[in-house]
Amino acid sequence: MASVTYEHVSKRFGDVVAVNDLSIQVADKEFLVFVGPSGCGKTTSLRLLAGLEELSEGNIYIGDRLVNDVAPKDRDIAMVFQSYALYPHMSVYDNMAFGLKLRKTPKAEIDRRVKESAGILGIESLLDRKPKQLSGGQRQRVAVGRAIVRHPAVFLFDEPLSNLDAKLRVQTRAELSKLHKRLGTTFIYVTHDQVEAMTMATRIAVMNNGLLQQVDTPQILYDKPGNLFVAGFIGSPSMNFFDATIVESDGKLLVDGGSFRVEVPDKKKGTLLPHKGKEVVFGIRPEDIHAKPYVPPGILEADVQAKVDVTELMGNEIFVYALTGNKSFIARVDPRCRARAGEQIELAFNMDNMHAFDQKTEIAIV
Amino acid sequence: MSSEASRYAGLAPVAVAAVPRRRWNLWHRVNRVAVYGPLIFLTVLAVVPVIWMLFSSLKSLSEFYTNPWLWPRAWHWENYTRVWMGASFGLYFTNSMIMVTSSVSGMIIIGSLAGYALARYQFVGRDSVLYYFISGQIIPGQVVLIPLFIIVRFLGLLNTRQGLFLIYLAAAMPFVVFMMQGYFKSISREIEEAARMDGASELRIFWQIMFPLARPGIGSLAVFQSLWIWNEFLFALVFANKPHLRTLPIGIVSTIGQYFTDYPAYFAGLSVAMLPSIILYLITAKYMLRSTITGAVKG
Ligand SMILES: Nc1ncnc2c1ncn2[C@@H]1O[C@H](COP(=O)(O)OP(=O)(O)OP(=O)(O)O)[C@@H](O)[C@H]1O
Ligand SMILES: [Mg+2]
Repeated sequence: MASVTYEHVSKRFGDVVAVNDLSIQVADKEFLVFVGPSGCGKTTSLRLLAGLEELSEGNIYIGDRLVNDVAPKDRDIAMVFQSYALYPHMSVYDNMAFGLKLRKTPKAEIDRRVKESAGILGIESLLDRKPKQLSGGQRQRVAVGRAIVRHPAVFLFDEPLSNLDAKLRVQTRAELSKLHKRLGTTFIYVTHDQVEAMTMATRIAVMNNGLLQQVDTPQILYDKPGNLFVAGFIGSPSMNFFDATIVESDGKLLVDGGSFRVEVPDKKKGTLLPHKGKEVVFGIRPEDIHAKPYVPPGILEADVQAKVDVTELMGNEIFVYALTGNKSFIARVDPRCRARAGEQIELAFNMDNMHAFDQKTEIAIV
Repeated sequence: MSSEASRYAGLAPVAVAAVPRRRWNLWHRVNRVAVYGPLIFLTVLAVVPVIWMLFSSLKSLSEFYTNPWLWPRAWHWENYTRVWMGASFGLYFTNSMIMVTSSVSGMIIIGSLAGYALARYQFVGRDSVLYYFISGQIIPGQVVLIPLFIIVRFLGLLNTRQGLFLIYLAAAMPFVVFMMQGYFKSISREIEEAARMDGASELRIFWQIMFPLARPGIGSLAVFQSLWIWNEFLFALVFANKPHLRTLPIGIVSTIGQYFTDYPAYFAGLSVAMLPSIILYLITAKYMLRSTITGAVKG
């Protein structure tokens, strides 16, 4: 059991800054997920913690212990690699026992722990097989098994689900969450898939270009993204953005998007008032745009006219790709909506959930 | 509806398949001739001399002159016993075996360690070392024969097994190190890192993880090197030309000297000398083919 602390950690590969001044505190028993687009430094952050890369700057602590110069094997961590990295010439049993043998664990104890871990993961019947003789999902379990037999203080996962098919991924996601509860150990998990992050994490750290953008619970990241990048990255389909100006008219504060004008709700007025007359980026999620008359009760609607470009029927909902002015955006609307491509559509923005960002700094205003 | 469906279900595949298959057959036949024709020709080219050698080794000397091309009228198996006894073939055979096993083991051990270091560790001058080995492949052994001779004599290793062993090792190293380096590079780095996190020392990672994983490549390399040393003539002649050190190729040549005109015995010797190569090849053929193919695909 241990907390993990990154303190002003940087990593450079020649001219490339893979991780830039990362500071983050991971509490004991937390399930922290690093998420971000390809090349943003997630894997590097994890490998720094594992001791597989050397720090360029900063400190990393596991528990209270400074581990900058501690060898990977002495950090009391275990890692599941993206490729699983099973030893191809060893049986599943030996794969799992290898680390314990090297630590001179008594034979009976090794046997007990391997069987126990295999039991947790449901792979008891595979212990004699070689990795080649396993399916992708089974290999993934063995890789997890090899990590949990060692009872480490921290588990590291680098995109462990990316080689599984969609269905198995969903199932394994739930199993990993369960495993986390059962083991009560700190999990640090890397993925580029925001759905994985949202479903499993107790907290998510969003990274971009080596920089930590925001770290918070999934709900807060979704409700109150700290900047334009986080707003666009969390949520699927992504949030719609419009260049807009804040204007005042008849005592109302409005967001003027050129082809539409929507009213700012009272509770957000205070923070937006100082930006009156200034350009902002107005953000609204596809799920906060409804097609009339199928608007849920109790929301603060603002009407917007748009032209339907394309529709995608998803069964339980319809994705409408719409145009206002010449700006395209997405709405997730009620399946009863009959709008067809080329037609006008009446939409209602749920202004309670509007977002606005500073155009220059891209930092959230509300 | 159901009868119609079943009719289509039954007919469609046949109708669709029938037309292209005939065309494909013809093309296929042309293709086969084009591919197998040259292959058969090359096989004959390779096999005929071997058969001729085997036949000749079983003839009497007079028949060898009067019936040089066909199979023997009388089979003279005693040519083999004569060669084995008379020309100390047993000794040459043993010498060759010693040279092959010691040199190839040495090459594999040293070459794999060096190749692994070049493939996986960052150190100053690593690329220069690798280029040095690669450029070593360009220089043929004959070119450096005289300086080599001087060095070996200076070291007092002339006409010793150790001398020849070191020469084989040095001569093979550029190729062996280069190939090993490639094999190790092709193994996923994550496997090695997993072992490191499992607590394995660098040496253990090498011997218990990396070396076994590189085994297919190492195996075929060992076979190629064994065949080369088994047949190697020049170095063996120059550096180990004492009767008790002679390897098979040298031994066979000295047989000609000894029994000047005894060609059947000479060919009997050659046939025996060839045997281990063929056995080795038969055992490992499938394996080597596979490793060259996968090597080619991975680049
Ligand atoms: N060993 C290395 N040498 C040089 N550059 C590297 C090395 N490892 C990573 N980088 C660079 O560091 C940056 C971050 O890489 P990293 O692997 O951490 O990204 P990532 O967020 O894990 O991306 P992905 O989702 O594609 O796995 C990238 O620009 C990458 O090219
Ligand atoms: Mg990565």
